[in-house]
Amino acid sequence: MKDTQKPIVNTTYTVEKFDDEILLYTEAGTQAVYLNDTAHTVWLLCKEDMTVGQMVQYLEQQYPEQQKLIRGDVTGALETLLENGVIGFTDED
Amino acid sequence: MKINHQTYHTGFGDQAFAIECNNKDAYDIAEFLFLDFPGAISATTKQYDIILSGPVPMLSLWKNDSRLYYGKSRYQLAYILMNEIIYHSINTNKSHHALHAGAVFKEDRCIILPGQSGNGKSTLTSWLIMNGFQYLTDELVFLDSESQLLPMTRPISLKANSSHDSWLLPTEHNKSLITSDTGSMIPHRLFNPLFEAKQPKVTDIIFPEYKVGAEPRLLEISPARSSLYLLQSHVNARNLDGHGVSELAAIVKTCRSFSLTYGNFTDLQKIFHSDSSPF
Repeated sequence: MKDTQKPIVNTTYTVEKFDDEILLYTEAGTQAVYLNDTAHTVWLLCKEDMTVGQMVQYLEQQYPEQQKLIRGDVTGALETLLENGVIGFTDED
Repeated sequence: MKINHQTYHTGFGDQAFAIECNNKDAYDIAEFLFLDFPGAISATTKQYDIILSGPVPMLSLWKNDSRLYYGKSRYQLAYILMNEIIYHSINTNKSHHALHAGAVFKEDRCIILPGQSGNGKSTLTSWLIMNGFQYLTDELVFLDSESQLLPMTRPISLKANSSHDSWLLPTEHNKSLITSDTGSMIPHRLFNPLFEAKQPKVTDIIFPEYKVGAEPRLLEISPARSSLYLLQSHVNARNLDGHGVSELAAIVKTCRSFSLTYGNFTDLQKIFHSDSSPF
């Protein structure tokens, strides 16, 4: 996954909100995806027209005390979202 | 010649069924299976026939002109008929959430045990009713938007017979069962002789997992995770607006949810009888 890539959100997913977590499910009802707090945050940023690098940079500024963990958490969450078809990627190169 | 035809009427949800029985023995099979079904009023009634004939006897099950079973096994006939009734009860239902789940209750607690076949749902249900809980179902619940449960109260169905290690019932009850090499149906009243039909509101959700040798564990899980797991047992989602996800999630938010891993009855004893048990 490159920093220049930009996630594109699959709009066929509907959101069910819980306190710190969410459940995404397809309109066709064929798939549901559970997102924890971190993945939820990343999914929200995916809708903000940001590249992977911009997301990491933004979260590092927001949570400087967790700077070492953020890149791994972001790429892990994005991979989960990609595997479940919640997002795709475009390349900004 | 005296012909003793009898019709057994039963129903579940919004589906009514009439089972024509050609003699008392056939009628006893229908009564064994559907004694505690709540019944239903429907504009149409689905029709089945159970026919027992000959000295052995040979059994057949019919749906209109289609023969669904012919042979000597009461268990196979009962199994096929029960699955037919379950399928038709679920297939067109749009008023409830149909969940593949066991259910028990005790005092003000009503627990559902969602899961697919083979994950220990019926065995856990049996153990719970031998340990202070009252039986509702081991297979299917209908849940309305107010969390109220309509359980399909049928005989307990185990994929085992009295020779299996997991068998819980004293052998003197064996003659009351419908059994074969592949499975057994047990009248739940053998466990709960004072059974009273109830439709309580669900308070707790336990997702059981039977895993030999695994460390026994009862772990509270979040409503989001519980909803995700529950969707896997939601068998009529396609009939409901938005696949029923929001309504089901709202019900889950009013409950406590747990995942349970166990490998034997000693594990269950430790978990449910410990001082820290939420039950």
